[in-house]
Amino acid sequence: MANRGGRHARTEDSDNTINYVQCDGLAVMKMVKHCHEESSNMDLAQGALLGLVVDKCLEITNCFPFPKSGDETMDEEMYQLTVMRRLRRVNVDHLHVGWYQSSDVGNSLSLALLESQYHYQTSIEESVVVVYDTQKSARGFLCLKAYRLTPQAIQMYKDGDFTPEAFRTLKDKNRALAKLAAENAVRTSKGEPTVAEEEVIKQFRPMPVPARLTATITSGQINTHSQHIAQFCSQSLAKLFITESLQNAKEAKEIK
Amino acid sequence: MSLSNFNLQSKVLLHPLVLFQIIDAYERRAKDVPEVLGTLLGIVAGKTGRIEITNCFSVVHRMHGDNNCHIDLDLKYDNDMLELAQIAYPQEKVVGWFSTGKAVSAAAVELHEYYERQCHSGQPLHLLMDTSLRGQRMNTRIFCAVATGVPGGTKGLMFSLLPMDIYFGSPDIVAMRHMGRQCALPPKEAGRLLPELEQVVDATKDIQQKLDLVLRYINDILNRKRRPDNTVGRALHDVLTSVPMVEAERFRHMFNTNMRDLLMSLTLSSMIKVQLQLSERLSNMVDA
Repeated sequence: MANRGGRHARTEDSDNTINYVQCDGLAVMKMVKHCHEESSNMDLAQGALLGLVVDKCLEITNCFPFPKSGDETMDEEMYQLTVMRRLRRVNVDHLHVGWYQSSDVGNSLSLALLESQYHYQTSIEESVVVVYDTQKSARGFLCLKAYRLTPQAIQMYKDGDFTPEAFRTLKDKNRALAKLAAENAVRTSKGEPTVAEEEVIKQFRPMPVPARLTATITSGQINTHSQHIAQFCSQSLAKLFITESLQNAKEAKEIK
Repeated sequence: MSLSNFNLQSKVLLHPLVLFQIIDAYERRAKDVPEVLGTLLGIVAGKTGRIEITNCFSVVHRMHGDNNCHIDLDLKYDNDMLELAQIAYPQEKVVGWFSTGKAVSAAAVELHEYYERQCHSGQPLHLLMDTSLRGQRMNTRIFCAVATGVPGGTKGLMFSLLPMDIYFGSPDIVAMRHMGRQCALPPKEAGRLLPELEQVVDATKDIQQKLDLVLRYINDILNRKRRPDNTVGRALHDVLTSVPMVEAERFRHMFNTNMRDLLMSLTLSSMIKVQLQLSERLSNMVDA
């Protein structure tokens, strides 16, 4: 889009956060092609972004598609490395700066997106995810958005204790409680004092609040989806009014 | 070598992405190489013989010999890249090769022989792009090689020009129009994508300007200030007749239904949002 300078610089300061993403025309055209080709068979298109970081600006200068996820025989890591090595020989920027994905009227948010972006951002800090909306763009509104996880989101994801271990503790605790209830029933029938449930609960460390991650993502997803639809509707309304005024002009002429 | 079984009438459609890729490859060429060349990929429509050039990649190479008439192409690189390209777009096949320069180079014959074997149809196309910007234009031409000469005597290859069109799918147009507008902005403001409703406003302004232009042209002709041009007249006629004639009653009806649908979707989406906010508040209340 903008002129490319000959500079090739990496950010040196430690808090190398970026605040601006600049996308080359070539990368845009490649994403457009890939996303539209995949969306015609109702598939999600995904690919890698290549580029470089200059000051606080992330420049996306090239990209390449990932193979379709249905193909199990492919080693995706190998494929990516091979493509990047080949492109490097013809002097394409080989810094992997993120990835892109297609979406339909803003239905892009998902757990998978969060997970991938988390892994990208923890391994390469400047990574972004670019979401390209095929449906909206096909109707005339270029919709290309770059997202990043905030440091808080990364921290939350890291702390989110949604591991099998937590599940197991929960299961053991329930089993012990059930056993205790049975024992207590026997004790009451014999007239002995019952053991309080608290005794058992103390044996297990307190459970964290059940993870809200999925629910949050779903609600975020619905929120953006409806927002996109609302935007799209207002755009369509604007178009509709343009048609109306054209029609009115025509009718006025006919009456004359 | 078969003599000109190539259908010179076949249409060639060039996707703009290919142009972008060649320019990018040229800008990133190695210091000691004055030009880039590479493989063109595309789709050949079976019956009509229409060739769409949809993709390409550049290939590492070196020119040598007098007048650079010999070429060393990194064949392994070419094959590797082809394999990788096939993974992403299995339907695209080799249709020819591209290079940059002012004229067909002396090495074209060798390249033609190589791509003749690679190419499915056996008739590789040659895309030549003049990146020196002579006359402020980027001249892009497509050639196909035709065998010439006397049977039993000297034989040669003649690269003859093929007609070419640039293909514009609607998403490509949307993206390119956007980029064109970005380029016109001063560099400091460039880059920010417009909020989406403004895109409609922009498009409306565009229509207005174009209507003004057309009106001025027509008035000039009516006032005999300008010489009428038949092709422009026909094009205008086509444009005007492409607007469907809708009766006032039917238009009203269509307009109202569409309007109701859109307003309904708007209401529903804002209702969903309200519901979400409500549930968020409720769950926060439980926590507190």
